[in-house]
Amino acid sequence: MSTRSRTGAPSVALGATADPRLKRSRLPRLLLVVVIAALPPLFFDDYWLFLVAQVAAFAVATLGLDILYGRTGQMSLAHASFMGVGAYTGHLLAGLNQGVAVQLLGVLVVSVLAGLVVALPTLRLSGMRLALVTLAFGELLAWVLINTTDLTGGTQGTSVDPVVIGPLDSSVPMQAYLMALVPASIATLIVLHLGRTQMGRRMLIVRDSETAARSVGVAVARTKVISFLVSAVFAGVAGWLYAAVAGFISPPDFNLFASVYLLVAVIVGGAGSAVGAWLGAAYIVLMPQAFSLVGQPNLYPLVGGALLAVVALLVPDGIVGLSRRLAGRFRRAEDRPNHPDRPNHPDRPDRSTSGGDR
Amino acid sequence: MGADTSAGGLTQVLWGGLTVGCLYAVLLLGVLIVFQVSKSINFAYGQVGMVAALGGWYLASAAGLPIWSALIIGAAAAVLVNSAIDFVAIRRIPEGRPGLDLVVTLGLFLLLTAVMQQLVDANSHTFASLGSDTSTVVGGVVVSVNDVFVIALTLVLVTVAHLLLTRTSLGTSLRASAEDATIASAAGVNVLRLRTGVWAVAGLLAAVVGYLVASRLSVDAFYMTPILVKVFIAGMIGGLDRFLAPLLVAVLLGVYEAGAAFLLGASAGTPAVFLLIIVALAVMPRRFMNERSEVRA
Repeated sequence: MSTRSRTGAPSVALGATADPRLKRSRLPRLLLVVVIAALPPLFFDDYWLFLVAQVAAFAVATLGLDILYGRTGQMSLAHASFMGVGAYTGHLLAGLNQGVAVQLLGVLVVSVLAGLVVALPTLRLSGMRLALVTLAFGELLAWVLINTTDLTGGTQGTSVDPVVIGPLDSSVPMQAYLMALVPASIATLIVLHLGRTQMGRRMLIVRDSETAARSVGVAVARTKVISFLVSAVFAGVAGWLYAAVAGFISPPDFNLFASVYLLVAVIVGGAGSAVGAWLGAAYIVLMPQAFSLVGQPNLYPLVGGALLAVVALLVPDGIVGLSRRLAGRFRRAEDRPNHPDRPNHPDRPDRSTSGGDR
Repeated sequence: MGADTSAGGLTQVLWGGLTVGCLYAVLLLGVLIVFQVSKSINFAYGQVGMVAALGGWYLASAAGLPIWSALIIGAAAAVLVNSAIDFVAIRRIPEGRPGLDLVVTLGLFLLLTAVMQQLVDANSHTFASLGSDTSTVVGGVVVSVNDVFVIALTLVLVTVAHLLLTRTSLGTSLRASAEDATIASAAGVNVLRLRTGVWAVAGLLAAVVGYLVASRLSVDAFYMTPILVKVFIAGMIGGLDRFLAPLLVAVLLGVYEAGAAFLLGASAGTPAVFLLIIVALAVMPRRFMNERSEVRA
């Protein structure tokens, strides 16, 4: 696969997307993914299948947050709230007897609008301000939910009707799994493709140095806003999907703590990597189960907090980066990588400014 | 918060807002001095106050200690925890990783919340009243001992901090190390000791605000988060590298919130604050909003 972008611009400019993985054949990888996707229906019972369907739903959200945090370097403390926006929008539209297509359209539109309200005023400023405004947005959603009890069920939560598409019904674990796989796969493909587009590279340089980005003519604010909107839409769809799979939603699913767990997922999995986002989604869904199984459900937030701090400080690329580094140690002897940088974390992007052409 | 439309007129509501705003200002003072010496945001800061208050409640109610010694132990715990956050986490953030302070302290936020829930519990408890039940009527407004203490404390702390910063050599050192730690250190300022001291003082401030908020509401593992969110908002609007402007914004934010709740109904505070930041950020000139020394993403 060529490392040239869709528009044909030379990729040397940003130097960050020369992912060595692309040079190898993709067929074995694709087969591996298909095999992994086929495993749960073959070996898991309904309960675990239902959890794996939730993993797929959360993967859409973590992939979205990865675009924002991992690739653009912007922080959101309200991504669970954006999931909530999607979940409740879908639920309300379903209550008005609207079909799946209208629900999805509604989720997309409302997510974009919510994203615009948060992103437009803040993103011409700094990432920290965005983080703080998203924090306030989370509080706002909680307030809306609590004050619209007749529509949303308020603090008690509400049960959500399953989504039915043709013969598929999201209340049946096996079918829910298949239904969740479709948007999750689309989201994954979008994120994988993003690295090869102009937009994806603009995001990376905005993350690494806004000054450098400006100096090569990247519209920093617009890049941030687009990144935020894409990521809000991902979260909205994820929330809608989660609601359909879980069958029940309530405000705690979408509060500040849920948002922080999403961030834990992305960072522990490996920021800037699609595989990392999937690992993170699996962590969010399966870890609480694992702690419950050993009779210590209260340990989950404790471990989550410690992991977030420790991984962010000591293992900046999360599980994916760690395993890649270990693999690199084995491989180094046989072939020298022609790009000394780790694919997703270039050093100061000085060479991009000297590259000159955008 | 603090808005009780049935209790009296607008003056009463604004008085309540003023005292709440003062509590925001004191907590913001802690955020500002920490930002000066370490250019970082501590998201776990509210939980430092929570550790003091929930821990203090536990020592006084469950372990039966006299309230004053429980409060002192709680405050000492807050100082320790806040200093530990700096020692263990913030100092180890490598150069060139902007925004990592927020991520790491979010982890500590989660950790402190979970630990206190394990050690104490997840329920709400009534805290020592600290004078909030002793009140008198001044000009038609019910004023409690707690209110007077909050306002006096705010005035004293802000004045002392202002004088320290502008009139003493300690303040000069502090501002010098805020400007450029390397140069300050070359000029003989013990930057590290200064930093340790500031984080410890900030921990004490968090404990005091934690106690006062708990005495007005109740105490649990989460009650400080909405307070911290508003404190950050005030800091964001006023500018974290300024001094009086953000503190004034904090006080006004309390008044604004109470006023909105009075005019639009008791639950209107949250959306009103959200509206305020969106409008403030959209309207304010960019030059005013950008911190000179802000290097984060």
